[in-house]
Amino acid sequence: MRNSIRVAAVVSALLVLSACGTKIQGGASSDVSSDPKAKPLVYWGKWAKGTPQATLFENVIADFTKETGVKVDVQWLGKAEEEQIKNAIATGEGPDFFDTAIDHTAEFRAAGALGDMSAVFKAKIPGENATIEEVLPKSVLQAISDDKGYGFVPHSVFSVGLWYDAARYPDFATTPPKTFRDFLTVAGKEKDAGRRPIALDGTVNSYNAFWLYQLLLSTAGPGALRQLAEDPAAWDRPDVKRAVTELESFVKAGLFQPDYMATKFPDAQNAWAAGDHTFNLNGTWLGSETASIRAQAVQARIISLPPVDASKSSAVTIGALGWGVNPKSKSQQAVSDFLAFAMQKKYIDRIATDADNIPSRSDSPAPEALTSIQESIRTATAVSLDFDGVATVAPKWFNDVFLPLDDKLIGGSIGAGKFLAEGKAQTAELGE
Amino acid sequence: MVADIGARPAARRGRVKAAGGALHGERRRLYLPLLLPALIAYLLFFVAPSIFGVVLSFAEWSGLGTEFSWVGIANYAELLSSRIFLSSFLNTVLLTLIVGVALFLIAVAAMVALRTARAGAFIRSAVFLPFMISPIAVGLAVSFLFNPKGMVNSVLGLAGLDALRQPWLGPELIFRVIMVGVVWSAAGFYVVLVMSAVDGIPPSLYEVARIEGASLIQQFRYVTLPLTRDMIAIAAALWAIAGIKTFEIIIAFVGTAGTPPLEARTLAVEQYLRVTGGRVGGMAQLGEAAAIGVVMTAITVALIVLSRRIQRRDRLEWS
Repeated sequence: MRNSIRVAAVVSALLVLSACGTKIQGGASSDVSSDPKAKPLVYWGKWAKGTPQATLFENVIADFTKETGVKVDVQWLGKAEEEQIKNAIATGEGPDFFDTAIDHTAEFRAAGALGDMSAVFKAKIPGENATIEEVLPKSVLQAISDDKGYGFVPHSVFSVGLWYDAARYPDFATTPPKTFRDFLTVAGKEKDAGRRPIALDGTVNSYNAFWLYQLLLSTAGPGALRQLAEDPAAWDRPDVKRAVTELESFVKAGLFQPDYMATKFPDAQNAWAAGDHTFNLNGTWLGSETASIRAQAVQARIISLPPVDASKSSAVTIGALGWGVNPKSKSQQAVSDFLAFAMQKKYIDRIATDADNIPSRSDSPAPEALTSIQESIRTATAVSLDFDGVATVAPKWFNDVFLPLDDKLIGGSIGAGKFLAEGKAQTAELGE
Repeated sequence: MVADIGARPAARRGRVKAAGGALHGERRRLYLPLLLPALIAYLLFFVAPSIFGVVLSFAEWSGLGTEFSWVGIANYAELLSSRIFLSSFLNTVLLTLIVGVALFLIAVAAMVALRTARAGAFIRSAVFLPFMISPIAVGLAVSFLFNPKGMVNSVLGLAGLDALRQPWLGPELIFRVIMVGVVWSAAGFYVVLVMSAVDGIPPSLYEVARIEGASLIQQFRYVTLPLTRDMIAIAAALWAIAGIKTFEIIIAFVGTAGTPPLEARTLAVEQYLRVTGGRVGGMAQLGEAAAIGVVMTAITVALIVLSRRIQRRDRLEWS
């Protein structure tokens, strides 16, 4: 009896201990043999199975395996994959390559999950006399880089702009409003005719902040928001004050839908898609997000938000999704080969046709609704990351100072003067 | 009718002593092997992570692979001087107290009314139902009801009460609406909990009270309340724990596309923002998040001790 109890206790303890040692994912890349064909490449993706991106990448993998004999073991982990990837790479259990985005470059760098990508970008794309680096616009290459070089290989790019109904404004594509004030006049006419022209899901504070950030880009250029986060004195800059004052006037014009600050996402964007409102300042993803519910009469198109000064064009905000490479992977060459294979035009074109997003390659056409923004990205001389990348490097300031104050400004509960004074004081307080 | 049973533990000790001898020795030898697996699991999965959490609260760290550095009590000092932390702290305390009082009043009403109500069992099941639904679903459903074009404003409009239509989910009102959602979601659990204690009271006690002319309120005051005090204390402790941790329902209200406004942030939400670095891939601040966790645990313990002290009296039992 006593022996059997001892055995049971030991077995239980072993079970508990073995559970502690369970790997997040088997078949790690760290023990890949010198022959790349001996073990498959491991790819961790964020797409849900069956989504256009997952289907496209599965097609690419199948074609790559057929052509090279190298298998790729893909696992779709869902949206919160970043934490798993960082932890797995830190413990030597990570995939060979993985899905990432500009927003995550800083955290992946800090965790040692991104390495030197220069060799990958020099890889020749099969069947094309060009490298990965050569098929991407310079603006995109700039956006995906930090002080350590390229962060990842992008397949899709994003931006922020003014969505409008081309059925109501067919000439916007060729002759958009020259300035922000001109846009105000256009929107004001709709309001005078009894229609609230602009939709805003005010419970999403980052959507609210698109307005001020795009105005800041126009008056103060890229990096201004980052300066506001780092230096209280930046709040006194005249170009910052100009952007804030423009927004204050805009809010006072009452162009958003009623009770916009209390509108539960995605109610306002759905109302915009249904044709109840004409404009929505949002990401390039809005078109694909609302495609299934859009009224037939609505022709959704996007342009850059008109600049505050006609003579001073704004920098273009660029976001991107793509593939990062585990610096600890022992299959660097095979990963590089795969990424070059995946960057072929025939596959990247499908980012537009299958997923309704802007392809990263210069020569891959965007969906019709996004052509104007794609052209802005291609020709941009100045680029900015979403919110200057502040959300990733100074999250406390972004979440606790900027977004709450911006909500008050765009909600109309404070004016430009109080916004600037409070922003300066709170930034100084946070920096102490 | 109702007796003080404070002397009972001595009798129990006597019974334990009487069970000595060979059997007792055999039991003692079995004690450790039987305890060991559970003890190891407890130490590994509860005690060790808890200690790590406390240790982490004195450090700066963004997760595996990032630099770990000791900062002493800087995280706590940072929290105490942070306007945002103090605001979320106040929100948490307000939510726990206001919703706690509302839940107590609902539980009292249930103890008075449901005991004798003909459809008591049905009503109890009906009010318990929201507790079975995920807080995320409750938050989403309630938030769509309170949307500017949602059912609440629509009904008010149809009833001709346009003046009462409000931007419920706006910064000024959202926290109150969240509290309504929490009450609706949690009330059923506490009603069922206290009613289980009420069900254990012999009907004869109420019969005697009625014969002696006690009203429903007097029956509650002199029969129900003394005999359910222990359960009410347990319910208060459970609510203190749940209230301090209120999180999912707020996230559901705000949605996953933005960060909760300051007006709606609780300590758990603030901790979540520091663990994740916000919604746009920010760097995690795990040291501060751990410090918030330590503060939340301290508040929970303080509230539990307080509620036990308020309720502390000799245990009563009917005889």
